[in-house]
Amino acid sequence: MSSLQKYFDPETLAHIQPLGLRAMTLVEGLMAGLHRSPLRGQSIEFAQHREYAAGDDLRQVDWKVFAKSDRYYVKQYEDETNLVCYPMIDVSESMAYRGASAPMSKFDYAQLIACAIAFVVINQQDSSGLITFSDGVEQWLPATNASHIFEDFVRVLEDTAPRRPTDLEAVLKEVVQRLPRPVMLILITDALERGTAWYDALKMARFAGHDLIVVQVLDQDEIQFPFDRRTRFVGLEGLPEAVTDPAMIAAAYRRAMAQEMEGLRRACLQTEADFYRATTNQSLVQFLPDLLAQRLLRRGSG
Amino acid sequence: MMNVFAAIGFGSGWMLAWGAAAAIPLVLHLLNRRRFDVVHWAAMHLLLRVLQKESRRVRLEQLLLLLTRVAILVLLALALARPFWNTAGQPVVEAGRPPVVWVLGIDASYSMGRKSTDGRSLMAMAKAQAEQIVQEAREGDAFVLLEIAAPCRPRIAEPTFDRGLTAAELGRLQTLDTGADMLGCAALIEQVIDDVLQTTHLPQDVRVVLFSDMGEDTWQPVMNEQAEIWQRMSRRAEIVIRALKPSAEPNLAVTDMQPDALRSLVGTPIGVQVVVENLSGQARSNLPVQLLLEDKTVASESVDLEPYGAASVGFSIRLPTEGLAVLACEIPDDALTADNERFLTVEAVGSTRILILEERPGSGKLLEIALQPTPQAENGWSVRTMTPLDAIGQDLAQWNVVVLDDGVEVTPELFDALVHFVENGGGVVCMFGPRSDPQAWQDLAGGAATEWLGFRLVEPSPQGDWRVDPLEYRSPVVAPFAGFPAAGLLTTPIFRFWKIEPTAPQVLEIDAGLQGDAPWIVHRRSGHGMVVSWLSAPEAGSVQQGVAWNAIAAWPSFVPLLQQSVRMVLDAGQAALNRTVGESLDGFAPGDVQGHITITDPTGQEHSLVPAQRPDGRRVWRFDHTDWRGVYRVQADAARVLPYSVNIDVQQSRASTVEPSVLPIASKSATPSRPLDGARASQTPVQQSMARWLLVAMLALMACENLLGIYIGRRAQ
Repeated sequence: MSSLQKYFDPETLAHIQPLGLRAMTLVEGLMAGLHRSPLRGQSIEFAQHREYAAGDDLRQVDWKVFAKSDRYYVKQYEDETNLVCYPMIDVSESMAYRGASAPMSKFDYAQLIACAIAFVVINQQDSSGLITFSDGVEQWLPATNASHIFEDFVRVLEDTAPRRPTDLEAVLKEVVQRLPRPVMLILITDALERGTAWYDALKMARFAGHDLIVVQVLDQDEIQFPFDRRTRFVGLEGLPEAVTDPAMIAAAYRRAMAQEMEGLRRACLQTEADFYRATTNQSLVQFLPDLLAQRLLRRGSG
Repeated sequence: MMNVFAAIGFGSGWMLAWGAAAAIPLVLHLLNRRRFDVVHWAAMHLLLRVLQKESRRVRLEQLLLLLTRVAILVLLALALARPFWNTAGQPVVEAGRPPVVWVLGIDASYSMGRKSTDGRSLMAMAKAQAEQIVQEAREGDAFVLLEIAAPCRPRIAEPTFDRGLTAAELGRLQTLDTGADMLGCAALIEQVIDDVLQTTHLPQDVRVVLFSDMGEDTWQPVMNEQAEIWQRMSRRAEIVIRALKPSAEPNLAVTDMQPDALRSLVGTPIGVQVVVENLSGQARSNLPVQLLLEDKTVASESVDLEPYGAASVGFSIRLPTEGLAVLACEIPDDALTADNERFLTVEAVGSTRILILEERPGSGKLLEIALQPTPQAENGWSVRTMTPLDAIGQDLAQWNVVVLDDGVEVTPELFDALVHFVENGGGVVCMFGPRSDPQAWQDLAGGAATEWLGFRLVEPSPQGDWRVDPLEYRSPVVAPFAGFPAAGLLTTPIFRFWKIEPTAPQVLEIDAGLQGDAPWIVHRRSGHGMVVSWLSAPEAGSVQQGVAWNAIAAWPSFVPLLQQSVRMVLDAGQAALNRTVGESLDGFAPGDVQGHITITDPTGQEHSLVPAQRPDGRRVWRFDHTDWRGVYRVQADAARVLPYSVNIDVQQSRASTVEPSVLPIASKSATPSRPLDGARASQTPVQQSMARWLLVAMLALMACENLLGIYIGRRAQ
């Protein structure tokens, strides 16, 4: 393993406590690997003037234009379209699952992704908030680019324990209702939702102008179903238990899981949401830079 | 449907118990259901959906696997139980009976050689019926085969499931010339029962089927002294007796053949008395009776026989050359050929050499005169008298009889020579009188001398007039006096005699006694020879009562008694060459022969024996298989062949038959529980073994189980 890759290796990161240090380690690697920030310097170019309206910040009034035309115009900069990012972390009980060979739980992994994104966003003077949810929104940190936000960010995540069921549909609707303007929503979840009704909520969020990124975090066991002894599966999130011989249904399970994952990917495609999938034993370097870079490209092109 | 099940039987039904092993997969399955890992699972929605969709398939596959594994074990247990299918479709008589161990006992005594009504011998009939049992036996039945002869021999000692082997051994059975030892038969059957009960792989039910002509001499002991044994055995096993009836064809037998003497002078006539008996109810006239010398007819007579009557035929024959010769007497073949001939080994000698060992020179003169009254005596006896001192260095083998005078000092060396002399067929006559020293005899050879004599001298009797008791003239010593009470035997003057204490009562025989049940002349056999002892020896001195022990020497009975004593010991030496079927042949190997003894039996088969070394260095041989009548020629060395004549015991010929119902065997044994006659055979269903097919099915299921496992495994990948 190269010295750079170790920053993204879940095995390595799992041994780092607390979360803040772990996230900083990850970001350090991220920065070193990107050479330059994919988001830096994109927010201060002048865009246009518009007429002052009540409620506009007086600091935004272009006094030179006022002196020439005696009319109040405010400058509109690209920074007005500066990134406001809300990582949404699923903190339902299912996220607590950690397979026997996994270095960390899905929740731990999701924390790392959220921290890394938030750090990068804040570091380039963009705003980042935080939403944790299960069957409803649990924590909501408003988006800001203040430097203390990252500490708040880490504290909230560290104080959160996954224990409740998930209701993605309700959460997304609630978030859309609460957000006054379009933002970037990065939904970090295992997406082990019953049914596909929440796909409509995704469309709704997209229709509301939000930029959507869906990061599905899964444990390798949840994909491979590697159990070979008779097993009693105790359902998390209050679901019933089942005793079965895993070897007898492994193939069927894997097929069903593959269909499930493909369904989510297609739903994201149709919703124009970016979709990423990660497993908890997978190095973050395999998708995190890509995620951030692609966002940059889309902003640049847009 | 009931008929279908009734037509199925099991050869080893108890093996079905292994079917319980079929529960093993079930138990394992149930145990596995109770043991599982516990996983707290996140993707439970998905898993429950998969389970709902796949549970039926999973249960079906698991059930299939379980059933396959159970079926494999069930089929294995069924195959081990060796089921059979009655292809005739009709239930067999004992459809539910478990397998049994058949103990087949075939009477092989010579009377089984009689013809049955269908012309076959009784032995052939017995073998056919036994083979039918073997053929009709079920899978799982085992067989033991006994040859009931004397002795009774197991032809198949360990129960075998091999019908082919049993049939082959049955085919090899043939009648012997022996009798039938039912006591030995009972012991063997009990041994089989004990062995069967101690094993687990054999059927536990024993059925004994005995095939016999029910000769009284064979079965009488079963009714009497062996009754308890057979009753006990019949409680442990079912005993079936198959009585075989001979045809009514008459049987005549040569029942006796006695010579005047077994030794005769060359060229002098020897008288042979032959007894022929008619053992049937039909008179027979003009029956030719032939006498053969070394297979050549030398004389022939014709006799008429009344029903169940007997006739005696006398022959006189001269043996032309010195040496052993075999005489045979024959009558024409009839229903039973074994009793139509008898054999006799006799010896022609140039002279009989008798040695008298006297106490002191002249003291044996009396005995010498009695044995050879005149120098021209025609008995061919050559008598020589000497003291033991003079006899030192003499080889006793050159003598036929040694007579020990009263008071002769017997040294250990002389005693040792006498012992070997008698064992080899020599005869010794011992005289005990006033000069005998009982202590010397007691001390001789550490007490071995008293064993050899058969008695110990205790003390002289009180003075008296002891009258002679001829004991019904049974002994050859006194037999010539029978019918002549005035011939002097009964009045022989005996005043004192030695009281004795027998050391070997079972072998000491009394030839003549004295008043008060005291013995006077006794003998015992030792080896091939005989020792005769006079307990009041003739005295040459005063005959005055009160001083002398007797006045035998002056009495007319003296010479006949002494000569008869010598003749008896001479015949005893020859008697070793005339035996009855079943008796052992034995003898000493010549000292210079280190190799084998070769014996050619009457069937022409040669047997080779290795003589055994005795502690005294002498080499002895023994042959126990005298199953046939006729002449056994023993080649001890290149120069000499000893012909042993072996004759049947004619009791079987004379014996009547016994009804099985009177035997002390449980009632179920009186008749077989299942008819065994030939007519039954055609109705007997054919039993087809199903074990092979079950094994094939089991193997197929094992293959299926493997394929199913692979299929399920691949689906699970």
